[in-house]
Amino acid sequence: MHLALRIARRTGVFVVSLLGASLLIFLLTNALPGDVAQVLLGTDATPEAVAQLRAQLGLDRPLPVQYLSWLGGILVGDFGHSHLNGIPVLTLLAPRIAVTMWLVLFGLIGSLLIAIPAGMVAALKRRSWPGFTISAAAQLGMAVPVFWGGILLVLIFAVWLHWLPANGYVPLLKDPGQWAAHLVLPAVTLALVQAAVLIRYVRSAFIEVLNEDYYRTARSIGWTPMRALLRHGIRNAAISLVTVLGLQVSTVLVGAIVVESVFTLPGLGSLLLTAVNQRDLLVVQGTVMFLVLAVLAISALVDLSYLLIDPRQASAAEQGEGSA
Amino acid sequence: MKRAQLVTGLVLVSAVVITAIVAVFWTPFDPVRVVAGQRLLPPGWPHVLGTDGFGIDIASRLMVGARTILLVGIISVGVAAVVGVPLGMLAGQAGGWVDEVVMRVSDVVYAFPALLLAMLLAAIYGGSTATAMIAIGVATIPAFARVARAGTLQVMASDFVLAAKASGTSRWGVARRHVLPNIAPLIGVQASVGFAMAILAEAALSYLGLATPRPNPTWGNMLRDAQNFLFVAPLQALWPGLAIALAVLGFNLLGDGLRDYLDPRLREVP
Amino acid sequence: MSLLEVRDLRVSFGRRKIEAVRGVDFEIAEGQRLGVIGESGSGKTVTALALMGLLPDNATATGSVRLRGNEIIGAPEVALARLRGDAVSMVFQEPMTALDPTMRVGRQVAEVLRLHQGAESGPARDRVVSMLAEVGLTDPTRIADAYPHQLSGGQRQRVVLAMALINSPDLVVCDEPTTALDVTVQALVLQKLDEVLTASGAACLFISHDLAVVSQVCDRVLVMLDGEVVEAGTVAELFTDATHPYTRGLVATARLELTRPGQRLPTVEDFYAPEARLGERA
Repeated sequence: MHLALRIARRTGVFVVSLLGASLLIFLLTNALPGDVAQVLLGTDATPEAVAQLRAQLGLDRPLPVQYLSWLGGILVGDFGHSHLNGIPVLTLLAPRIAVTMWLVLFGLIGSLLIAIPAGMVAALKRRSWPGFTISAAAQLGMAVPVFWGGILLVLIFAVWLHWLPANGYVPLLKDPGQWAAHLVLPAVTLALVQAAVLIRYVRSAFIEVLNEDYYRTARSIGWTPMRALLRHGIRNAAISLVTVLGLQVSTVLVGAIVVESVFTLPGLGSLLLTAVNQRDLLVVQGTVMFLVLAVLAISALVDLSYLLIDPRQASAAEQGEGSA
Repeated sequence: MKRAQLVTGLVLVSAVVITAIVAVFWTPFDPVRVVAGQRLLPPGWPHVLGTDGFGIDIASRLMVGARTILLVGIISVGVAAVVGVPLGMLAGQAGGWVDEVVMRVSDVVYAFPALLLAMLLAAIYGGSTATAMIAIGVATIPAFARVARAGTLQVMASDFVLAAKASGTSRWGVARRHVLPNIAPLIGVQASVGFAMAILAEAALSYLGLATPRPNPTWGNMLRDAQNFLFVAPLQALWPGLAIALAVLGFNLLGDGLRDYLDPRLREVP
Repeated sequence: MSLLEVRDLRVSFGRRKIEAVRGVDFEIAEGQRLGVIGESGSGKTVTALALMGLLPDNATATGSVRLRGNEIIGAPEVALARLRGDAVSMVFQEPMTALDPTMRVGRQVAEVLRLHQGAESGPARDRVVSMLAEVGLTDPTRIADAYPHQLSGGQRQRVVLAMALINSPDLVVCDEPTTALDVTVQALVLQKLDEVLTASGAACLFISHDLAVVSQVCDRVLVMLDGEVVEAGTVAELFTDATHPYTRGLVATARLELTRPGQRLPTVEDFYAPEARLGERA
């Protein structure tokens, strides 16, 4: 398939998913029993006050009109306003995005740094004890809830060893050392739990490589198994792993939200939780929409990156035709 | 090796189920009543695992937690299967635009994590066991739809379905008599793995205070409480986490074991 | 001393120790070409992999394989890796999958030189291009920069050939190197193989199920059946006085020009029926 066509198709899927997700979010908040204005004002509000707020928020308009005006707002960067203090959702999000972004980024990188070597060894030694040990550890790790993992790490590295702070956050520009110190445990927590899930995929991707003829060719010219896998396996395994990574983006984000709560980091997750507890529905709605948008966009980009990894895709584009 | 997995899974799952059933009728102590004089007791007798910050027996709370987690698991996985399996079968059998629409919608829901769904619901209705079950159930539908669709496609391509269609069996008849029985094992495996995911999701939600509210015990909210006493009673943070991990491990192993048991092609050569 | 000495080689698979090779003996002298012929499942590929030390994890090999006096069976992986690509190299059956799809073929051929001679990439590349020309690839510079999927099966197999020969090994193991190719390409690749082997003076173990193909390249032939060598001799001896019925069948199928027009073409089963074989085994 032509490269441009491929990108166009993936973009199409992205747009359709985005529309679907926005519709889902909108219907959940507006079409389910339970009135937005009532939620915002609390159960003891007078009917008049509720009616007035409904009119003010435009909730008395037909649902399709409401949806389109909400969607239109999002397209120009208006994710709604907090009901409690009138601050735009994006203004609330802005100072917190960095925290969540660092966490997701380091968590993802860390999980790959753990999962790729571990998965390679698990594949290479799959019939002997290192392979069994890694697979068993991954199976155990998958069962550990991310917040418990965080609590255990706090217990070890903050409570007993006093090496790292148990919670809190310092901005990068204020004190880079403290910033790093406060991010280590949360990022490691996220990385470990995520790695446990990834190891399985990495292992089976590399087992596939081990069964390939080109791996045997590499061995026949004198590479040892590990070096043959490093040299000829990584890029080939990456082609199948990219799809998995695209799907993992939302898992990592969810993990980050929970981890923020464990370590009381002032990120998007803690903003969401506060808004939920205050029943600030419009902030919740806007933030959820923002996060889903981010997840969909990142998975689309990750998905497309395999065009760069697989030369068969790239040259198919050069020639403007498919090739076997 | 594979058999050991299946057996371990079965043992762990049975342990959770038996604990939950016993907890319906009996717990060693009252799992919710605050006892002022007995706060933060270390493990011993009669409080085997000690007491929490409210002086409540931890073992009793863990037992009731097993009940909650099983209930949430059964309902959410049940909802997901009841909605997802027919949708997947429909997509697989009908093909064409029906397939495309079902799978696109399922992709959208798939990109929508249970946690965000639960947050939206909790913002509207307040967090409760019910909102958690709905959020987890809805978020799990795509997994069942995918498995059912893949299985259906495989069955539909087989000779016996061709023969059934040739002899005039209706679509509904094919679905009921041939597709469903043949994909049932796949659904079983998915249910087991889905159960593990549901336990993790419920634990996360109740840890964040988005599911079953206090004073009712869940493994998640017990961990949230325990975190407040991390410096004085660190052991408290061990038990609920261990319970979650073992339960999840059990359902994962059971699912993996079933998969290998049912599908010999996946078995690796010894 | 022979270049390669194989003594009572036995290879079994799995826990139940199913024997695929059941006591094989042969030797190859410096520069000699030995053909191994047999149908699929006769143990010829397993024998080849055993020589390379490339048997799968679940295989157990016993007996002795000595290459220039170095024992291969049971040797540590690092020692084997040093021999592979240097003293002995291999050409595989399936050219479509034998090359890494994500790496330009020139780099893949150059790897052999960098591994065993520590060659720098500049001079290595010149050697690669001239080697690609030697195996009969026109426009070798362009081919060196191509990815495998941009080449035809015959081109890829000659790239594999170049890989196997660029480091002047003492022995080249060819496992059905032309089976997957079209007949016309097959003849060309065989001719190039013959030329480069003659030029380098390397010995060759050539595996095939086709006696006609083997006779184009080899001086001597082993016939394998069910993991055992049932017949050995020069190609000429085999054609004139084969003793084993299976060999006689192979000879007949390789010399179809002897069949009169209108007559049914001979098959191996005419000479050596599977039922007879079952009886023999029992």
